[in-house]
Parts: sequence; C-alpha cells; structure tokens
Amino acid sequence: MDSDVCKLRIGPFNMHFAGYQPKANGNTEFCEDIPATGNTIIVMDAIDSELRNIPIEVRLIEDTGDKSLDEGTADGSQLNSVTMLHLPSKIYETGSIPIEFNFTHAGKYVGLVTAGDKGQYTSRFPFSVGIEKTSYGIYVLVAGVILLGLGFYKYAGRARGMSRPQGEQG
Amino acid sequence: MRRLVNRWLVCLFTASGLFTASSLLTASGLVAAFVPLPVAAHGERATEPYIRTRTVHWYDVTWSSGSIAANDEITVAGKFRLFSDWPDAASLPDLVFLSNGSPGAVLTRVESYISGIPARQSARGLKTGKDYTFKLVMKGRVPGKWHLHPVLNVHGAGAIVGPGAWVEVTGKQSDYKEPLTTMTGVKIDDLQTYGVARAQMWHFGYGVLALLWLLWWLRRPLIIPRWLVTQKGREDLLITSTDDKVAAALLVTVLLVVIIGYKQTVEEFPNVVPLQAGFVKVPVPPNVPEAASIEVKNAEYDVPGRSLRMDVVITNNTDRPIRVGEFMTAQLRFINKDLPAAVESIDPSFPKDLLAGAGLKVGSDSPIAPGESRSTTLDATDAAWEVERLVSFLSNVDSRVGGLVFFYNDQGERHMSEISGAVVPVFTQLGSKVSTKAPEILNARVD
Ligand SMILES: [Cu+2]
Repeated sequence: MDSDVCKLRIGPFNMHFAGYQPKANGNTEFCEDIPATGNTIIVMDAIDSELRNIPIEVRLIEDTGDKSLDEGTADGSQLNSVTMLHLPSKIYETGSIPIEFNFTHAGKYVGLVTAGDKGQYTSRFPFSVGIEKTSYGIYVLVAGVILLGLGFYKYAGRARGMSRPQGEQG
Repeated sequence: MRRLVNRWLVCLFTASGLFTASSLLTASGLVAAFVPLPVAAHGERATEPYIRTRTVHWYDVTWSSGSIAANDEITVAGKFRLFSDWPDAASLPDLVFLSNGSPGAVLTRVESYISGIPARQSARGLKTGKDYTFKLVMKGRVPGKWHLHPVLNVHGAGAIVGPGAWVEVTGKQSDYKEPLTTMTGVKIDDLQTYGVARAQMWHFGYGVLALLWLLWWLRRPLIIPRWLVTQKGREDLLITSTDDKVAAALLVTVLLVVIIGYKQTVEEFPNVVPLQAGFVKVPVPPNVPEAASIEVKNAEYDVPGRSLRMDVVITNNTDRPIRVGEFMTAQLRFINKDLPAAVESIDPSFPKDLLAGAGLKVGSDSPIAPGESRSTTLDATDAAWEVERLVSFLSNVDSRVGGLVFFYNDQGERHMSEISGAVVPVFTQLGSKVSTKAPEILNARVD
C-alpha cells in the first residue's frame, strides 16, 4: 500500500483510515474528510501486523488549534475537555479498530492514536467533518481553455497584421 | 521583437492550459483517492478480488527455506485448486504457465512442475474443480530480501498470484553461476553472459553502418530544397555518381557481412535446436468425492467490523465425525483455533501476515456426525479484508465470494470443500461505542 493516501503512521507502523456514513453514502469509503455531519463510522486497519499485538488507545478531539493539548504537555483535564470519544488502551486482535460517532456539528477534528505498552508510538491525524470542499478544478479548466482561445485569437490577429509589411521585405 | 513577444504569449497560454489540465487531473486524483489504490510490492493486492477469491486457490504451500546463499536453491511447493465457481469475466484455465512472482531476476527459476510434469512450457488441459500439485525450484541470484510467490499465468485472465513469503538471499551476486554443458559437449561457464558480446557486436556493427549511411545523406540540403528541386524536374541534381558508388559499396559490404557471418556461425554451431513452442498436456486428476458439502444460505460482509459472516449448511458425507478447521480465500487463512488439528496444519514457513489474527469463529463447533446436516455460521473477521483490498467485491458486477473450507475428522484427517455464494455489505451498529452525549457527561467516562 505504498501510495495509499489514507495511511496513518504510528511510530514505525502503518494504519489505514476509512470513514463511512452508511445512512447517507452507503458503503462509500472516505479518506481524511467526512462529507457531512451525522452518524459516522471510522475504521482504522492495521497494515503492519505488529499493531495487532500491542495495546492501542484512540481519542477523538475537537481541533482547537492548540497542539499542546494532544502532544501531552497540557494537563489531563484540558485534554478531557475537548475529548469527544475515548477508547481506552486495548489489544485489537483482528487488526481493525471501529469507531462510531455522531458528529452533531461541522468542523475540524483530530484523531489521536497511541500505541505500545508505554504509549511510545503516537499519531495525530486531523480531519474535517461537513466542510464542503468546492472543487474548482472544472472552472479552472474552462477558464484555461477560454484564455487559451483568446491568446491564439490575439496572436493570430497580430501575426497577420505583421505579416503583410514583413512579407514584402522577406 | 514583436514576433518574439507573440511567441512568448503562445508559449505562456499553452503552458497555462497544460497547467490547468494537470491541476484538474490532480484534483480528480484526490477524488479518486477514496478508492483504494492498486499499489503493492508487485501487484498482489492490485488483482481484482474476484480473481483472488474465485480462481486459483493455493494451499499447502511451503518454502524450503527463509534464507539462502546466492547460487543456492529454494523449493516452493504446494497444491492449487482451480475453483469451480470460476468467474465469467475471466478466461478458463485452458492454457496456463507456471511461474514465480518476485521483483525481477533476483532468483532464477531452474525447475518447475505441474502434477509432477516438467512445466517449462505452457500447459494445457487443466480443469476447474480439480486439484494440482506444483513445484518451483529457484536459485538465489541477487542478494537481498525478496517476496517470493508462485504464480499461475492463465491465458486471458492474467497472472494469478499465490501466497508470498520473504526469502533472503545472502552472499554476493558474483557467487551466482549458471554453467551448462550442451548436448555436443560444449562447456558454457555462465549462461548470464553467454553470447551477450556476440549480440552486442552485431547490434553495434549494424548500428555503425546505418549511422554512416544516414550521415552521408544528412550532410546535404534536406527536405524543402530537395522538394523544390523535384518540383522543377531536376532529380538528376540530387544524386551524384559518388552517391551511386557509396550505395554500391554499402550494399556489397552488408551482403558480404551477412554471407560470411552466416557461414562462420553455421560452422561454429553445427547443431542447433529451434525454440520450443509446444505445450505440455497435464492429465486430468481423478474425481475425488466431496467429503462434506457446504451450502451458503446467506453471506454478508460487515463493513465496519471487517467481518465476513456466512450462514451455511454443512453435510458430512464421510463415515467419521468432522469439524470445520479453516476457511481460506485470496491466500488468507482463517483458522479455527479451537481445533488443534487445524492449528497444527500451519507450516512454519507459511507467512504470518496471511494468517488472520482472530481466526475463524464457527457458530456450532461440535463434531458433525456422519450423514448429519448442520446449520452454522462461519465468521471470518480481520483487518486484512480491507488491507488486502478484498472488499471491492462489493462493487463488482457479481458480488460473490469464494474460498476453500477445510474439515478435520476425529482422526485428524483433512477434507476440503469449495464454498461460494453471493455477499451483501452491511453496517452493523457498534452499539456500546456510539456516543452522542454532551461533552460534560462524556467527561465523566474519560479517565
Ligand atoms: Cu509479494
């Protein structure tokens, strides 16, 4: 899964991230960004089998922009105040960690994964919920084509205007 | 100057057009990122799930060693079942070729067999619903750690890759030698380099001649002037008598090279064998009555649970009680850990990453008596369904899953049956983990 974009790194190990909104989108799999609020299932799958033998702790927090919260420098109560969901440390034998959560409001969230007996491996993955990303690609392309046409039109006009006097010289 | 500016403008507009096109491609690439990308070490995960779950089922595969020195041999051997419920979208295995999957010529294949018959050529006559043995003897060539798979190339269906194990080749590449004595007693020190210099000499020699001939004409005025000359009906100006002499000399040189080269080669190698293009015919193995039949009543894939759950009816056709020991599909082995015979069947050389962690959960696991028909559930849960990219069977035109089920009787004897059926995706509520409570209440739960 070398170029898997839905990959999380936890220390030396890799996990695969997948989000689902079965009621709204059937079994369509989302990567980092969940399209709408509401009932959401997030599944993290162990790519490296080592992750099946070590305890893993998962926390979903609201992204307050304060990184100290999730880097463990802040005191526990502060982290708890933004924690929306917490799965205590546990060994996941099947290699997958399913999480179900009802996101009531759109916004930015962060998943915090801690793995290992001493919690030595950590991963922080930001994702958004219900933030619609308009794809400008198609507009950019249409604008590009029109600009290209205009450019040729202008160039052709100038080249013709020039070719008459120059044709006599050459 | 104005012309230069105009050129710049055109370049700019063309470039911007290309840029927007490429940015759109990137954007669509991001959209496509939701779909698992078919990238793996050498494509074992890229193959369509219907191919991996319903064509060639490799089992009892062993690797004779995990580490060999360069120039030493390793044997990959085992069996494969050509699945009865072979997908319509793939050609039947009428014409196959047994090979190996490894990144390039890091190991060389020295021997290969299907059903004990040397399979250095393509094989015909294989039938679905039958079992075949295979054997590959590989020789370490390039030092490193390599993922080594058996591969069955099926004409019209592509390369169907078997399980892969890491094999380490130690030592130096220079240790690798491939000597050979031909039928006429000619000793070849190393096939890797044999004849290479000769091939290079011929390529290079003809290349030089071709280049000289090209240069002879290229130094003259080219297309437009020559076209103008022909327009004026003065072709005679284009080719001089010196050109004629050079052309004649080249013709004579090339023909002499061909004639003398041919004569010398034939004298040096009087006995040659043409490239072999025939097929090996593999005899059809005898019919083996199915010891237990297994019928899928309902199968669902629990998407968030990464779990395939099948409601099945198993009928024991043998005269001894049997239990379900293993479900295997797409090289993944779900072992019933409550059955010692099934656990013991795992060869130590079998790659651990293809053994599902939680194994197979059998709903009604007590022995099935001779003649009994038992309804039970089989639950195969593992992240591998997702990580091995097998779940796209849900988006296929025929959402089916197939595999092999292994049974063991009270004496530890093994029987094998095929299992296949339609599968539907479901989203099981995770219940206890659902949390829509206000953060204050939730805080109490957080340690
Ligand atoms: Cu491989």
